[in-house]
Amino acid sequence: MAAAALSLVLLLLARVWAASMHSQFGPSAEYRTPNCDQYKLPGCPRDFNPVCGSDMSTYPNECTLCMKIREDSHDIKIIRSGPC
Amino acid sequence: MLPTAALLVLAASAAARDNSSCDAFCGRQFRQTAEGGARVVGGQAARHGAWPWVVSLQYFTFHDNRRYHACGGTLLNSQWLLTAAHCFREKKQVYEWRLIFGARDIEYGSNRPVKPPMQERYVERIVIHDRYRPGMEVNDIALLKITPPVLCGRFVGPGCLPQFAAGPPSIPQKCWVIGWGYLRENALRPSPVLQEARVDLLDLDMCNSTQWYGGRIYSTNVCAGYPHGRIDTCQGDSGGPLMCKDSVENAYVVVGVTSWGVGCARAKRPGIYTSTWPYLNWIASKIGYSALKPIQIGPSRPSTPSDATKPPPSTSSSLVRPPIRPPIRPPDHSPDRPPYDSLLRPPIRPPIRPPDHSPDRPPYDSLLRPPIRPPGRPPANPPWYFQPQPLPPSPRPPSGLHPRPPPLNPPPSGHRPPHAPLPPLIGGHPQALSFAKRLEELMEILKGKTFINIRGNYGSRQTPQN
Repeated sequence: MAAAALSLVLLLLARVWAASMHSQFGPSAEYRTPNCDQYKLPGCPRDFNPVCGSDMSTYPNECTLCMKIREDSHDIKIIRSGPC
Repeated sequence: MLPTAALLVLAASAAARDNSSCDAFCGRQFRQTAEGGARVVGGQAARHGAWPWVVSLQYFTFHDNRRYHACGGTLLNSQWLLTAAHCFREKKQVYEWRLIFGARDIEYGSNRPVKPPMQERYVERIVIHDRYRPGMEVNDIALLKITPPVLCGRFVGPGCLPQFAAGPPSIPQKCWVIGWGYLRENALRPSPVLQEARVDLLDLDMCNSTQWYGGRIYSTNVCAGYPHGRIDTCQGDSGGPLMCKDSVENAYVVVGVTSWGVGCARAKRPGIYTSTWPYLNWIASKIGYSALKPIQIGPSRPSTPSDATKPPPSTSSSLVRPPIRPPIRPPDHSPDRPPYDSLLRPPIRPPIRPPDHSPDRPPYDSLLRPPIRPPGRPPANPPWYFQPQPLPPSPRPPSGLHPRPPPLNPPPSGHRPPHAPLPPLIGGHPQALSFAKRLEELMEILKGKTFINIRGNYGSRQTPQN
């Protein structure tokens, strides 16, 4: 009985956590690999379409995250669309 | 005492200037920008009404009714605005966008209706240049059809485009950029206040040299900023205007659309803009030549008409001898079509045709619907996302509690999804003043004041937006 109650509590907590992971831009797949091959310029377009990187930095768009990967040559995934 | 006839003429002119169609006097500022205020990145806050044609393009999230600034744009008339194609690379659907006009201050992520004189509108159609190449940002230009049409007045008015015969913008020239983009390269949010900055138009060959952009700039681009950097557009400014003041008309001409750059405000990495002049025919093919004509001002260089198609000096030479500096490349390498040629080859066509018109190919037109109606005519049926009687804003769910997901499959146009929440539009529908009311107003004005020069008085009359 206690185990059932505990598992119910845990389930509820997990759902609340999952809901909080929905970013302000709506639910999105976690840890998406950025599609960096599409950016062929040394620079980036100047739109603001932010993504949250796995380094917990907000990038103004996917391209700027790709530039960071290129500069530092270590992998960064996209945690979600929208700022961190 | 004025004769009745003169009064009627004045009344008619006032009625004609009732500007709800935004078809009079592009490029007029209600408030002048402080000249010499040379101090976007490295800019200064603009005064409200200084740039009435600037538009904030905001991404809209259905699950919480919030709006997020993403790009800028330039109002062309009550139904069309000009922006950058790359703004729609991921968010391609009309219902994902909201347009804010007449703004100086914006709130990122707001779910509240805007307050007058701001006006919020929907997007009816997204028209991306049919030869836009995302990876290289070639032909990075797009038009949005606005619904319902925006009302012009003190804080909202059309921007100007160059004349067909203008040719590429002359260099050097001092110009302005504006936008709500980052105030520095590593900012976190767009600027809440519209920024403005003076920039220089820079020589394309210099911009394309090895130490600068290394051959990635096309003749359909404009390069603007400073060799030492420090003042530039940045992320969030895309689609906004690069404007140069015409000395004759004393109004700003939008010569470029903010596109891309390496970082922001870095030395030898100025902002890259899509030049508007090569796309005039494309714009006209979408919004109509009759809609373009009233907003074209600036030098037409009647004495040297061949200037318009004369290749840039070093462009032609770089095609002949092996380039020391990378050449300015033609904008389109698609094998089935010749590149824009009139900037690069000796002129064959008459100079009034900028190089970009491709009427034989259907537009890649928002991926949504074919253009059924001729441009410029109001829609026969309002689209589903436009509510004549706006719904009250749906209550926002408490944070953290199962937000409603956005609709995955949008219905075809003409049908509204049953539960898609729509915020009410502020700024409203045209509330037409009766002729008698206008006449009455005019009488009041004439009683109180002397008549002011109409051109100088642009937009100062109260419009329904206030």
